[in-house]
Amino acid sequence: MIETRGLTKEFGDVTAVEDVDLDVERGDIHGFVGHNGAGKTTTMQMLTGLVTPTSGEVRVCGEPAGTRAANEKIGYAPQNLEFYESMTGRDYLVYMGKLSAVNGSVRERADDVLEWLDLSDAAEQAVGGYSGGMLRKLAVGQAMLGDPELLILDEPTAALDPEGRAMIIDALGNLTDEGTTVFVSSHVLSELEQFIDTVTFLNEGQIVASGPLDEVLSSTAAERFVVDASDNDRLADLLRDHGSVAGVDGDDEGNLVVTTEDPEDFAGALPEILSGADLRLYFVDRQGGLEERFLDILEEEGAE
Amino acid sequence: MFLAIYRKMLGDLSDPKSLVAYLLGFLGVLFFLTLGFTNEIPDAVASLPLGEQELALLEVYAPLGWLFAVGIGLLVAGALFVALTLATEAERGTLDLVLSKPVSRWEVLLATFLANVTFLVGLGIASLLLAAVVLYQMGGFSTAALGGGVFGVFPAFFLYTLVIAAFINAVGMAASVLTRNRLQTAALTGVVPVLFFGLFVARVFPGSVYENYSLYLFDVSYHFGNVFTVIYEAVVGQIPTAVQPRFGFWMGVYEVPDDPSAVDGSLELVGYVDPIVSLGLCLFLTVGLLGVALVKFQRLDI
Repeated sequence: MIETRGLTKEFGDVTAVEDVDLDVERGDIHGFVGHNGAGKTTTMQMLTGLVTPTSGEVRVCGEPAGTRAANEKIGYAPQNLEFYESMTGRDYLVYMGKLSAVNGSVRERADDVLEWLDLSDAAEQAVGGYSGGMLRKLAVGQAMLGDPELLILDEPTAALDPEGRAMIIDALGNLTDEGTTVFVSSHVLSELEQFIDTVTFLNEGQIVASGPLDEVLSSTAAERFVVDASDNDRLADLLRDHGSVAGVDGDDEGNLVVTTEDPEDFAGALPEILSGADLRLYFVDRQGGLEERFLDILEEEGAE
Repeated sequence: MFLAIYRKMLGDLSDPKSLVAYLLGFLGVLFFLTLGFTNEIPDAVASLPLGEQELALLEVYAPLGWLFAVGIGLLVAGALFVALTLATEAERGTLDLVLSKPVSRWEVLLATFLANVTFLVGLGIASLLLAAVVLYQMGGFSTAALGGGVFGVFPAFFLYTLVIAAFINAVGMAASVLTRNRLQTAALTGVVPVLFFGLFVARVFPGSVYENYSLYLFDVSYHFGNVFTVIYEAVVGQIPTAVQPRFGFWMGVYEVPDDPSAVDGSLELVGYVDPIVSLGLCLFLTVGLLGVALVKFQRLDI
């Protein structure tokens, strides 16, 4: 669905994206992760044809990126929220629908999208009066107007309240059930890992890791748990004797930081250890997720 | 899709606040210009034979329409309004979403260009009609004189308006694509009216600077005068000899002797540049600048 080979973009002396090879399969939700300035937005803009690559090849939905044939099959929601402020929400979607090769009545499609976004009540309101969350929904909505095969979403849940985020995430899941592919970037990695199938980490314009989420996460050498109990010193002694624990340290707040190479075994054993010693657990936080993996990789890259 | 973009851009241009602000300023200028031109109208003009009335009306209407409706109306308004479409979209970032849709960039540019031309031609025609009404009211002509004095030359004015609107918008499109900034687009496009009025002043006032430094080559008012003359003669016919001194003074097209009435037949063309060359140059620049805008826009990173 997305295929890039040696994709590079230079702006003068600055290389924003360097030699990126991407493969995203049909029906996947692919997370695109990187710090600000890592080259995520530039890559997405090259997928939509807004930016021309300096070198390399880009194909989306089997078509060269930026062509009419390619853009008929994609929906794009950019990170920046710039709309025609004097237009109403409905007029805006009708206009974008006319440009999106919508089949059938554009107005009906616009109304369907407004209803799905829970924006029907604001359909006749000028977009200039929309809140940040409403604008974000509108951005995602206009991308979906043409029933695209591929959705490219740059930070689609930014500025949304928890309810709005949940709605967008649910919708993305439903879309992939129908065969739509989603290419999505987000800064909220803990949220991203809940719904993506595959992931690419980008750092300084280059891919530093890519593949199915499980594989990328399982390549972590060790996982960490932060634990706080009623007697952390005693718990530390008990944990050091447990076979799954590789090390126990303390953090600045007095919590225990437990490193384990078998997180499932440790997670299963912890309640037994606590109850056997009659200790109360205040909290436990597993830190082996996408965010930690990403930071680990960046650390490894920095060390090299 | 082309039509959707065309309508959208036309809607952006027709913002009521901008139009009202523009027209209020415009009416003031029209009033004072017309006052000046009415001094040239013979007393009790309505009592003259119809043919003489028509000529007297044409004598003032042609330069007033040329200077006011097209000179101020199209050039100044064109520079201001052209910046409201493509350059504004590029500057604000709304162009990203439009270009991510299955629409060709040339469609976006040409639809915008045509919307701008439509708007300016509409504005030009409205201004020409407004000028005719004010002149008729203040000049004391009979209604019948409007036939030959105004409506007879209207097809020429319409074509001229079209050519000039296309020219100023081609400049605007190229400026929009090159700068992607509203103010810079307005400033670059504004060079055209600056050359029009600046060199018009240099030409009208006595002195040798204009000819010695070949300023006529850059004198937009002179070239546009040539363009109007060519179109007038092609559409309406020979410019009446009684009106030629006006074309000579305002547009710089004819040599005007101290006593024009002593000249037997047509006045001689100034001939810095053949009028047809001015028209060719105007069309060449229009197509060329639009071509530059199209090529640049195709390759532009948004």
